[in-house]
Amino acid sequence: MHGDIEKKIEGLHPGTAIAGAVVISFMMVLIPFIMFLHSSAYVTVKQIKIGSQLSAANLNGSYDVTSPVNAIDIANYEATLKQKLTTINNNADFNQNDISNQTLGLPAN
Amino acid sequence: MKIQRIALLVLALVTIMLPIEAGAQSVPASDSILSKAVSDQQLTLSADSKTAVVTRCVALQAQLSQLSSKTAATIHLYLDTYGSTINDLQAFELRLARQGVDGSEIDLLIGKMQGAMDSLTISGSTYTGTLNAVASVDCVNQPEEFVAGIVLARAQLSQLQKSANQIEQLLIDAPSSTFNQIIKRLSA
Repeated sequence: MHGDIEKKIEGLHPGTAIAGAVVISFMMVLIPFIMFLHSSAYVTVKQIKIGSQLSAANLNGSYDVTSPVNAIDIANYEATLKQKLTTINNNADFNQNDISNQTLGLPAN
Repeated sequence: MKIQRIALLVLALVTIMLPIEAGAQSVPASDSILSKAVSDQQLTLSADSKTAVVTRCVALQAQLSQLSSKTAATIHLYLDTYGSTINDLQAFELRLARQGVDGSEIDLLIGKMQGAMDSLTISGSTYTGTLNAVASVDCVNQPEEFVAGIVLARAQLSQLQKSANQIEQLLIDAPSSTFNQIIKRLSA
């Protein structure tokens, strides 16, 4: 029995063995890759990438990146930023009441 | 003999491919998220509660689906606003660097903002994903999953609000944490 196996191994063509090893290695790389592509982690990565692209400095032409900064420029920007923050309302936009049992008309837990 | 070897190779490939397919399909299943939520919350509904949930379920699913879309759009708007703020800050940083003034506080603020934006994106994606999962459950056969999903979404909404507050707070604190030092440096 043991001798038969050895004979079979000896009979295996080296090229076939190498090709088999390559195919199996390829599959082993492919398994996690396909799983990653189908995972929610990949979806999140894509969303983060979009967010990064939004935040990435696309400073070509639309922003002044050359003139010297004065203290007054920073102070003015503070005011602009403050104004910009008035458009943000976390409590209203992400309101817990939106999905409370009472709002949804569900029985209390 | 040669045919046997080929058959063995094909069998080995099929054996490898089957778990790939199964694994690939099982990862994003929203059903499993809700089933896990039911299990984690050890949720059981009384007959009355079940009837009430089944009755309201379909109408609520449409409402939750709309809420998911609205929330996703809001998060996009937030990211857009914070993204443009980062652009402004980077422009300042470049201008300061050109005139040889240290603007490292801005760099630090940008780094914190980017981290907070990632957190906002992830928590928003998780929350809207759960809402979508709840919006697609079988109302008649899965009322427990529906309720457990709502409870889960509430916890995720809380995390989303925390992430949104975090990034807003960074900008509220920016005058004292960042701008004042630079103003002092420029005025010196």
